[in-house]
Amino acid sequence: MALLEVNDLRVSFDTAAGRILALNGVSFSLNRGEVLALLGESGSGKSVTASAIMDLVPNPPGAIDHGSIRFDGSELLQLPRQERRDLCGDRIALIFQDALAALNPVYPVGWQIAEMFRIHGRTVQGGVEKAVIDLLTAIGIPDPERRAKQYPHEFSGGMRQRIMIAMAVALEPDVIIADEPTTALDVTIQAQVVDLLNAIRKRSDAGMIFITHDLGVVAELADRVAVMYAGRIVETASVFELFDDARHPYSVGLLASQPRMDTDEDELVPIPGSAPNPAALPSGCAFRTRCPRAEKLCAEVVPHLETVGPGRQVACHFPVSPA
Amino acid sequence: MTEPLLKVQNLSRHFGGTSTPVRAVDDVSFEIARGETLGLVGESGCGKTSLVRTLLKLGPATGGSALIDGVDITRSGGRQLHELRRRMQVVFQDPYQSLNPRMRVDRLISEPWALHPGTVPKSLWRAETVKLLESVGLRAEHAERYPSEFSGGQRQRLGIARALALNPTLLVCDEPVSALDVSVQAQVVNLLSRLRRERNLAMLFVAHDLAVVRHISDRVMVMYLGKIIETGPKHSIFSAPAHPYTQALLSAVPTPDPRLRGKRKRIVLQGDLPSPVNPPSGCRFRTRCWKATSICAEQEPALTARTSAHGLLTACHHAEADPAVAGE
Amino acid sequence: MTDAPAELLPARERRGRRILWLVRALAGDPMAVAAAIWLLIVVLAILADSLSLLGDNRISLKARNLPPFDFSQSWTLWLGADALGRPLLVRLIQAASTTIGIALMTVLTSLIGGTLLGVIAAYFGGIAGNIIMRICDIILGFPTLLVALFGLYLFGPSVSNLVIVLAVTRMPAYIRVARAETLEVRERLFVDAARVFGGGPVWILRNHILPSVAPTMLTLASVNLAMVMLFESGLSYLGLGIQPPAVSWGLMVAQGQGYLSSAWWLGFFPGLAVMFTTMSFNLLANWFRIVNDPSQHWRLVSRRR
Repeated sequence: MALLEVNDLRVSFDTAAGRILALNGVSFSLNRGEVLALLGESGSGKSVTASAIMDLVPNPPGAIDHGSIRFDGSELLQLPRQERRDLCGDRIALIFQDALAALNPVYPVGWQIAEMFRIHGRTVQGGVEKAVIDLLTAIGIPDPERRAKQYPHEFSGGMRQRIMIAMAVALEPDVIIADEPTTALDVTIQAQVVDLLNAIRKRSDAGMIFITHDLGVVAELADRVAVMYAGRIVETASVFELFDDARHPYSVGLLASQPRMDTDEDELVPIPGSAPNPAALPSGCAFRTRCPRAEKLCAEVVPHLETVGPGRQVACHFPVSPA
Repeated sequence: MTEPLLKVQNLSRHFGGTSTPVRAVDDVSFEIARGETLGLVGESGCGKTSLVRTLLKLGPATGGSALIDGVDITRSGGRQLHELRRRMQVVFQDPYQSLNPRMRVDRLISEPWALHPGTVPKSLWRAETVKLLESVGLRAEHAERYPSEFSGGQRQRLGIARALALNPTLLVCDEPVSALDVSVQAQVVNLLSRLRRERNLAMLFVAHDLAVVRHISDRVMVMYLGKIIETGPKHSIFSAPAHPYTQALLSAVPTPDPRLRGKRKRIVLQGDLPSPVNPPSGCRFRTRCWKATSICAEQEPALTARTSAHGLLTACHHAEADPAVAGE
Repeated sequence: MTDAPAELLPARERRGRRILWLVRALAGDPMAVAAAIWLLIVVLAILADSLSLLGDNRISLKARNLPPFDFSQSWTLWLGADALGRPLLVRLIQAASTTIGIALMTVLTSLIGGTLLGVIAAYFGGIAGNIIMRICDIILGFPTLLVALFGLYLFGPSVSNLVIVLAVTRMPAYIRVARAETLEVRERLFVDAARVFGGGPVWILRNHILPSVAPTMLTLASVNLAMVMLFESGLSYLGLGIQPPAVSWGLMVAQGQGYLSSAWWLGFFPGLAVMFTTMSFNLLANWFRIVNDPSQHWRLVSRRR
């Protein structure tokens, strides 16, 4: 059985433009020891998915309208508030994109990491202080005894992001959700963080959901990829299948639009248009207005995720044929 | 050899007091020829934003000069500066911030003409606006809308259209695509390439995305802590970088190919960017460099040709190409 | 390939949409609807009075301290009459025009003056900016009431002096907000863009900074309207504001005070009018703030849960 199973999740938000469906039936599963990348652009719903799992959807204006999130056999959406809150942070951890905003500026970082143990009433062998120092050492912060007493602003952006990661993994969670943890970082720092995440996945058997829009990072880290577009998953595949042989026209377009470091191209091949307004999604397939393969059927019938191979699903009436 | 369009010599921009200034840009020299695109890469804090702002005269230069067609923008003011502004325009990073949300598109685009009477007579504003909008892939009726009604990519097109309103010869692009969605970035990059060809525009293209810089630039310049540490034709920089920092930068770029995972040599830099208030003596990169020796602390390396790579200038005492980290 | 988030609409239709949206936004906030209705009634009453539709306002000794809710009398007397037998309802409406008129004039003066001074202080800084801000500090350093009392004592109580004194004591708040907003807007990228096009300070102030700070300033003004009204009432109550025979709500409360045990309505109804009106201004100001802040719009259209 999968560690985390999300089924037909629907989340909506009230806005001035009316009610928008941020998630429109999202289903996926995450196994132990696996890194699943949620790949999508802004507005695709990838961060809302994380918020829904972590019970962070602001209500109002947002609401989870439908669906189920099963974690280790129990239905999260039906758990009492307190139990749910205990679970989040303890067994399901979140790494935020903006570490500076997520860390409290008035407490030393060591204190904040230790807080994770205190909140969840964990006792650790050798004491919490030692555990904090060990964690800081593990994420490669030099001179951890001194650094633990320092405040977030005394660390560089990359270090703060690593401290966020340390906090997330402190209680050895079963699921780690990383919400664009590398987006705000410079490329050399990004490489450090990706390496750290890679080391963590090798050390533990936690499942990781990695939310990003960066294909390069996906290629470096993910086992499986779920491509999201306009509140739906349009393709799931292993990372190799996606890069070798993407089936959904959006995935294909995304891969083709990237400039490459190893070849010279005269012109990039962009996806035309821009992401649709979530308050006025096109009928049928939301991608059809930008899709080179769209036909009449696409405007009439919403394509659902269909299994096209082992572990492979595509939501498209006219998928790109296998290479 | 013709005179370059932009000639920057020993340009510096320091912030704060004279005793311990922040050396954001320190003694930088480079040239851009007509119709040429120069890419500028570097990580946050390297001084590229300060360099751009100094070139645009949004802040004063501490020393040195920047000549456009032989006129020094750092020392001009009044009418002369006003005239220079016509030749050099900018596309900013964030299209959500750089367009005044309370101005309609037609007013946004014609603002430069209102500020430069004599360029386009008022009776032609409407027609010229439509022409500009169409040249960046927008439509005439978009003139009557407000920026909030556009998507990010479209806003950046507006920013480009406005920058072209005065028909500049040099376009400074400050991270023009980094705020855009991946699928839209390519549209804007293609648009810039096409406009450059059609109008023989020279560009200074600042970005941290190395793949995009590689795609669009003729030459590339790498900045570290206020200094240019390596520069050259793009193929030299990307296939045979000789500066350790450039090598680290290139090796850190994730490759969109899962099969190469763990197979490429990756140089992970130790430590953090030193403070530009008190940069290391000698070579500024030495505190994080694995090749550093005593000479690096004593002598600042000059930017000169040090390897056989065509046109490559490197500021490193131990410059040497490392084929394992080449991006190409 | 240039699909748009919003479909193309001719300008007129979009303006229509904007009005429709405002109506919808108002409907989303019942308290604001009540406030708007109350203010509408007050405005209509003032209009009716200025057109002399309300009839008699003569002194009538027969009706001295006539109690309210005596529906056998003419309708102008339904709220009773004052110590000189003047119908209280008509007096209330006349007082409303004074009270609200003074409040509007005051707010307008401090809004325009404060915004200009604040923007100048922020954009140019330097000595001028410092002088402006220090004067603000000095004004803020004294209790507002004390400054107002002193000013009115010195220059004598009159409507124009009252407006000036109230405007000056409120102005520091506008200057500070305008300055803070300008400092923020000045750093925005579109101001840099205008500079790169060759825009000078006057151009940038007029075309970029003033339009950007205006909504915040208007929100502040709408909150202040209620405050100034209360203040005028207080000063009139103390005898330094409106002088008889002119009348304002605060003055009516003051005059009614002596009759509290024998004719409670003389002070009660003007007090109630002050309360309702200030509350309405505050509620509408809050609504106005939300309408001007797109990130809060959902509050107005949200489904009730």
